[in-house]
Amino acid sequence: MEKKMKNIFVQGAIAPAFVAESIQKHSTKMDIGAHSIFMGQVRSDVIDEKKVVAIEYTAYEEMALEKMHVIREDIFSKYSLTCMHIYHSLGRIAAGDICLFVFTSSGHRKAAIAACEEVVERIKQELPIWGKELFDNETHQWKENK
Amino acid sequence: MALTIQLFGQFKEMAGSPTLQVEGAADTDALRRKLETMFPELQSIPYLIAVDKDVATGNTVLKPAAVIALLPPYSGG
Repeated sequence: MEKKMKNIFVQGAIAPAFVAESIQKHSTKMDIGAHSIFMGQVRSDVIDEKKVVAIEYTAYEEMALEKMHVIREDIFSKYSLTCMHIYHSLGRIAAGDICLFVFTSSGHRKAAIAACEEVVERIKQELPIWGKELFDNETHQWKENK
Repeated sequence: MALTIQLFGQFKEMAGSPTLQVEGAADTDALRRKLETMFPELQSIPYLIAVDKDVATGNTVLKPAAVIALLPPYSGG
């Protein structure tokens, strides 16, 4: 399934209303029987008595989009999906806000669920994106995916 | 021949600049040695080198026109 390279990056947080609209847009696709959605939310960790108030995301965008394109192709060839949408925030995202939205749809649940999980894992492992955790005392630390 | 290295995340912060000029690094092994001399902190960070938007695996020859980037550990998602 050949698809042109899509931009996944959005400036700022992903609004819950945007997620709702995305779901609404799929109501005309009569071959869909299952959606799987993953959302990442900025967590307010406490590290050495300092509280994370936001994460500032930056990326090597050109490389990230190329890598995402490869992941997308892999996932479409592996699972029987109707469609897949991915949005990742850039900039300063406050604790409690949504910074990643992965949305997969298929005829039956198993493909959507498995594809969604695999895409999330690959995004975390393979995309050159960096999160700087900003603390409540104006200091910061660079996050690292485990 | 100076190579221009794009910097991201904590490396951009460390260097205080989005790019870095490095002289006389013919391949990624030589580049690593030079970078780790300039910034000893790099010795304790598992960073990657991207050449033309692909992660270099093994020792990769660096052509003058190559687009080179220094990538700290990822933390997207």
